[in-house]
Order: sequence, then structure tokens, then C-alpha cells
Amino acid sequence: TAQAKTLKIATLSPEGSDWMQKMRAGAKEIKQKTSGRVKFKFYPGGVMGDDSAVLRKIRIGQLKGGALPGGSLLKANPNYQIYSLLLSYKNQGEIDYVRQHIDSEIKKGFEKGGFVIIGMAESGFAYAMSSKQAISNITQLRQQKVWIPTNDINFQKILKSFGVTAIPLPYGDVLAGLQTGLINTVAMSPIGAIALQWYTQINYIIDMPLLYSLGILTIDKKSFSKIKPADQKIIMDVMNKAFKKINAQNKKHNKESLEVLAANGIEFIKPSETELKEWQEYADKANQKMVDTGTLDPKLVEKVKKLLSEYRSSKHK
Amino acid sequence: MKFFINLHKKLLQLERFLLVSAFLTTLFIAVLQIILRNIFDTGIIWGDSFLRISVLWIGMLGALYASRQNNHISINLGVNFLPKNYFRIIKFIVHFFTAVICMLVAWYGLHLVIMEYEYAEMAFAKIPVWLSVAIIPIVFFIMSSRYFIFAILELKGKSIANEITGVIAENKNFIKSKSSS
Amino acid sequence: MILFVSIFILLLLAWFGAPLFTLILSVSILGFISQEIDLTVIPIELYRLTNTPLLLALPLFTFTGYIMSESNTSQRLVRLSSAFFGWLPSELVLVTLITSALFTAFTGATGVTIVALGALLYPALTRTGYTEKFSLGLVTTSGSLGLLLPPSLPLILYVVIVQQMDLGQSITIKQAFLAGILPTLLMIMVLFLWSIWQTRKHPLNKQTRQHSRVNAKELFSAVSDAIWEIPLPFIVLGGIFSGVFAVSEAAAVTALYIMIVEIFIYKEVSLKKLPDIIIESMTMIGGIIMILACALAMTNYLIDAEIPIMLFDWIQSHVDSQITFLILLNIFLLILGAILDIFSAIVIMSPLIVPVAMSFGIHPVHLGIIFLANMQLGYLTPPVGMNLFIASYRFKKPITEIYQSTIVMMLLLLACVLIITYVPSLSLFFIT
Ligand code: NA
Ligand code: NA
Repeated sequence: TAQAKTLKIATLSPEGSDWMQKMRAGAKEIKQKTSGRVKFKFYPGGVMGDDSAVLRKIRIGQLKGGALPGGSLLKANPNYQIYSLLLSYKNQGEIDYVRQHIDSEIKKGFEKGGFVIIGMAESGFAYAMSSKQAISNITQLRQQKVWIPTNDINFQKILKSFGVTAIPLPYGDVLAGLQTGLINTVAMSPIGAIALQWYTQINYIIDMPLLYSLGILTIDKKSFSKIKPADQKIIMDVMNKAFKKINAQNKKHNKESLEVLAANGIEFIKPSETELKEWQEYADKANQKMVDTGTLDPKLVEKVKKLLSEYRSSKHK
Repeated sequence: MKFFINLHKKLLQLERFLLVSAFLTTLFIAVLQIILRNIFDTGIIWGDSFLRISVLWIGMLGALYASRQNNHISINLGVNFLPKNYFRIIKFIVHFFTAVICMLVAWYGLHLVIMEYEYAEMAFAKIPVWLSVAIIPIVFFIMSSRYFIFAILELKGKSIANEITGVIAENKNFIKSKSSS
Repeated sequence: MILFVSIFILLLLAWFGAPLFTLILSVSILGFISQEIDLTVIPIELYRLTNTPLLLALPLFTFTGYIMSESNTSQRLVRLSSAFFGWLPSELVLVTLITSALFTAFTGATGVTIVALGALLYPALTRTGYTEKFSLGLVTTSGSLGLLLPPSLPLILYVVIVQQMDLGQSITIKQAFLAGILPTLLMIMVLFLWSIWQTRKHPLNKQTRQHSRVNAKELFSAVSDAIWEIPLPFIVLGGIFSGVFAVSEAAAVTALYIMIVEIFIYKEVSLKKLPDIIIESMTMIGGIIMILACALAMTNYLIDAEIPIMLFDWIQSHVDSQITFLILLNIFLLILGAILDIFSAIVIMSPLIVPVAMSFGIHPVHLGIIFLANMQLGYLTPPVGMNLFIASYRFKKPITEIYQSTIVMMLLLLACVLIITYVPSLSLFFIT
């Protein structure tokens, strides 16, 4: 028999979570369909370390891949940032439409950077959430104690361009920080806010999707190319299917989570037209900076703009 | 010889200086974070990352310092019942083993530094990861050299141990631990 | 065959005093070679030390402990505790147990309690007249208490992991914190009663026994003597609860405060001596951090080779009742606590153990308490319990002396752990 390939995959998702269940089911199917030639071994719950550590271990070959937040693979494909542009997608429909058209291009970009993408699923939109005061405009935001993840320099630049000075804290201190008033404003996805218990300290949410993020299952290109093409196809097909399911489920969960937040008495603040315009102006400036610094392909930006206006006009008809 | 002894003494002082300043800087940044947040509603974006890495540096430098007197956590149950010559050979083997293991880690640590240098990721602010990783091969390399010297001295049994390692002048514990073991 | 030869050689090297960290490293190196993994993984794992939670507390609290041991803080503590609680037998033992437990709850389980508080409590105990052996044993043993009390990070981690699982039964952090109270009290009670029994034949120094009743004058004088040190716990707790600083920053505030008090107010430590104290305490920390870092590498090998999972599968295949499951679980967790770092142990094992335990009718909160109580005991289990080594290193005593001085207390705690395991109502009293 041809020697079996064991693909060691690390992830931060804990064992038993939705992601893990679906990935394990996919791995089982792949093992069957390849008659045991391709096996997966998962290391969940962050036991192999954070994103940087996992990537290091991929580089030395201990791991063959990982299920990681898309942002951690930016180096391989800076164009991924197109999805995390600020205030670019107004609702789920818009991002779904855009992804339909450019996911494959983004995947190709990653492959060029050395990572074969065998699954992509959304974590969802992050929203601004605050504990003390209802916020609807930038002036109000500037008066808050805004949390920023330690060492997140891009996010700091964005906030700076909004005129906001932020308070850096590690994730582990955020809940206590909200409780004690060390900070009072955070950005997080609804699922995340519930899982991390932050929602217990939150009273207001700005009803405006800030930015979108994805989780990506990737295998190192070198390891992937050592697998027989027929088996590669099986891996692709099965995992893509699994990730479509995860994507659908996360979409549903995020929607439900927003309802849970509302049911917990959290108030959704809708900015007025003029306020929205102001947010958008600032966001556009921050986004433009990314294009100007050359990290994001202007052609891709144009393409997405076109897709969005296509979608919006079709919706208005 | 004199030159090397003096150079070595300077390096020992440097080691001490680095450890003390690493500790004080860590304390300073930690307290500064609290002040910035409470009085100025802001903070150092890389503060937490800096502190995490500085704990590694403090730990590594502290471990290096401990190796001056072979003062690392160990079990060490039985040597006393052996005749002195065997005792020396065993000590030689133990030190030599320690030196080899440290050298291995230093070698692969260097490999990691090179790898990180090529990957060019930032650890915090303008400090790249390779620089903050570099403490690992440096410390393991020096520790390895020290244990090689311990091993050789164990065989030769010469008192130049003191001059070469410069420990006696600095710490009486070394004499104590030597005479008690 | 190669395996047995390697183990034999390593044991021999350990016997003759090779540094523990090199032994841990050799196990990792042999393991990674057998798995055909690039050894660059070792420095990668050492570097992962930078992601260990609460680690900053280790050097800062240790430094604080050393500064306090250079000044007369321990005398003031003895005086204070005897002025307030002198009417109690063995009041200092109780003070030791309680402060150690609370300190561990706040700092996690890295042995920092022994290193930092040990500097204070060990001289206090011996000064009061407890034997060296007893004092060593007590300080080492109580160093691991407190893992079950809020805001213990390992306990929170356990709950967070269980919450993510699809169990049809959700648990909360509050439940887990409530569940830890009685088991911790049991352990403190048992150790306390044993120490009263232990000292019944050896009356302590008469001097310190003078104030068997609360004496207003002595009380006032003891308090005013320690007036600058007494506010410290209040500053720390007040600071955390009012949001002035995060839990992870409390160590920095403590270090700075004590530094100022001992150097500039009590003037018992001179500024010139500061570098020496830093060097001495950081050398100690270096020894400990080296072990922690190398243990990460070994843990990574064990995880990569899926050894804990294989062990657990084996156990599971030999289990037919709740009792045998619990017995094997205790043994398994004790071993795990001795070889894996606590965070990895929780992350890897709890998702595997929880569903099996639930199928035997064990409540997940109770399981969490069992899990951590065993881990806590694992720190004290000879021959490889981490806290034993740390105590040996800290107090410059041979490891055999530490074994001797802790073994009885360790067995008492083992009895407690068994009670905790087989009497679920102790953990679930405030919950169900
Ligand atoms: Na404790
Ligand atoms: Na906090």
C-alpha cells in the first residue's frame, strides 16, 4: 500500500465545538473515501499554541496545517484584508454576494503564498458594544474607554484615524475590565460576546456591522502537493462541504446570538443618516490607507465596489 | 590569559547588569501601564507583549546566572558513597551531558532565530520576533560553555576553576556547595 | 529496549545531580526524534513561555517575597497573628494555610506561593518554635492549596472548556467557585488539626505563647508596628475590584509598594542592596522558569504523540463501574498532574474525561473539582511533584529532606482528595 499521509492540524477551537465536530466528521469521510491513505490528526483547544506558534510549527513541518483566523495568514495573502475592510458590507446579504464572486480568487492568493485553503467559514460581523453609555456617533465614541487587543497595531491605527485613544488589554482581562470600568467599549462578534460572557456587562450595541472575519482551514502547500491528486480532490470536496455547513451554522448562530443579546435587555442603537455618513467617511479614509500603503490590490477593491453596487441596485429593484 | 580573564570578568558584570535592568524595566513598564490608563485613559499598545517577552528574558538570564554556580534544580541523591576518583568521573559525565544538551538547544535555537529573521514578524513595536527569540540560543550557548568548562575542570581538578569562572570572587556559596558535595 | 536503556541512563544522571531541565529536555529530544520532528520545535516551545498566563506575577511576587525576607516583615507578621489569633492553638499554621491558599488562587499554580510567601512564612514558623521539618512541610504543602478558590485561572479554564461542549447540561463559573469552597476548607481543616496534634508534645516558645488572650495594648502596638504593610492586601484587592488595575497587574503594584515601604519607610533594606536582592530572587526565578519552559517542550511531545489520550483510552477500556472509574481517574490525574503543565492537562483531558464521567453519573462541576484537586496533589507527589523541587531549591534543602517533611501532609491531602472524589455532596452542597 502507498504510505498513509497523516495531516496534523492545530486549531484554537475547543474539542466538542461545532467547528471540531464538523471537521472531525469531514476527516472521517476523507479517511473512508481515500481507503485510509489520508488521515487527519487534530490538536484542538490551542494546545499547539497561538496562531504564530502554529504557523512556526507548520514551517518546521511538525504540523501540516491549521484552522486559523483568516487575519493570521495575512502575510501569505494581503488581499484577504478585502473582507475585513471597515464598514464595507452593510449586511449579511452583501458579504455573501461578494464572497460568492471572489472567494476563489482569495483562495488562489493564499495558495500562491504557500497555503492551500480547504475550507473557509465565517466567524461573522463584529459590532461595537458598550457598557456605560449609548453610542451612535464618533464624538461619543471618543469619550469612551475603548478596548483594543494587545499588540493589534492595525486596529490601533484605525482607531487613531477615528480620533480614539484605546486601552490595550489582553483578552483574559476584558471581562473583568468591563466589570470594573477599566474599559467600557469593545468590538466583538455576537457569538464571541456570548461565549466569552462579555455580554453580561454590555448594555448597548451600535446596530452597524463593523467588520467581517473568517476562519480558514489550511494545509501547507508542500505537504498538500505530496498527496495524490485524486486524494487532493477528495480532501477539497469533503472539507469544502463541511465548511459550507459550518458557515451556514455560524450565520444562523450569529443571528440567534443577536436575538439573545436583545432578549437580555441590551439596547440596539441605530445611528442617524448623518451619523452613518460620518462613520462611513472615516472608515473609507482608513480603508483607503490600506490601498495606498500597497497592501491591498486596488483592482480587487474596484471589483468589490462594482459587485456591491451591482448587488445594491438589484436589491432596490 | 590575563586579557581573557579580564574580558570574562567584564562579561560577568554585563550579565549582572542585564538581569538587574531587565527586572527594573519590567517593573517600570508594568507600573507605567497602570498610570497611563488611570490618569491618561490610554496605554502602551505593546505593553503586554513586552512584559511577556521580558519575563522570558528575565527567566533565561536568571537561569544563566544560576549556571555560574551549577545552581540549577536537581535531584542529586548519591555521590557521597563513591571513592573520590569515581566521583570525579561521574561529575565529569554529568557536566558533559548537561553541556551537550544545552549545545543542542543553542544550535536549534540559532536555527529558529534564522528562520524568524527570514519570516520577519514583529514581536512588539519595532522589535522583531527573531530578536526576542535570540535570548534562547545565547543563554544556552553560554550555559553549554560553562558546563564544558565544569566538566574539564572536574577531570583536571585544578583550582583555576575559580579564575576561569570568576565565581569564587563573587559568591561564597560556590565554595560551600563544592565542599559539601 | 532502547527506551529502557535511555530511561535507565536518565535516571542515573538524575541520581548524580544532572540539572532537572536537561533531563526534561533529553526526554523531549528523544521523543521528537522518535516522531521524526525537527528539533527546532524545542526553542519554539521554550518561546511559548511568553504565552503562559499570569507568568509576570512569578518574578514580581518573588522579588517582593525576597525584599520582605530581607526586612523584619516576618517578625511583624508573627506578632500580628499572635496578637489577633493568639487564643487559637497553632494560629500561625492557620494563617499560613489561609494566606497560601488565597495567594495561589490569585496567582495560579506555578509554585510562586512557595517562593514568594515561603520567604515570609518559613522564618515566621521556625521563629515561633515549629521544627524545621514541620515548617518546611507546611509551607510546601500549603503552596499548592487554593487551586479550587476564586479567581483560580485553571478552574475558570475548565468551566470555559466544558461550556463549549455539547453536553446537554451547562455549568457556570459561579457554580465551580461555590463548589470549591467546602473541599478547600476540608483540606485546610485537616492540615490544621494535624498540626495541632503534631505540636501537642512540643510546646512552642513560651515568649510567643504569652498572649493567649487578646490584649488591647499588644494588639495596638502590633498593628502600629506593621502599619505600612497591613494596607497591602487592601490596596491590591481594592485596586482590582475598583478597576484601577487588572489582576495580572497586581504583582507590579505589590512589588513597587513593598519596595518603597521597606527601603524608604522602614529603612530595613538599603537601596544599595537592591541589585543583590534582584539578582538573588531572579536567579531563583531563572531556575524555575527554565523548568517551566522545558516542561512545555516535553508536554508538546506528549501531546503530539497523543500519549495522555492513549493512556485514558486504556483506562476507559478497563472500567465497568463508577467506583473503578473514579479510582483509575484518581491515579491517572495524579500522574498527569506530575508530568503535564496544568493548563495543557485541562485543555487536552477535560473534553475527553467529561463525557465519560457524565456517563457514569458524575456531575461536571464535581468532576472539575476532582480534576483540580488531583492536579494540586500531583504537585506534591514524590518523586517528581514540581512543588517539591521548588521547595528544595528555594530553601536550599536536599530533595530527600523535602520528601520526608511533606510525605505525611501529602498523604493527608490524598485522603482529602479521596473524600472529595467519593463524596460528591461536598462539592455540590451549594449547587444542587
Ligand atoms: Na497555596
Ligand atoms: Na481585570
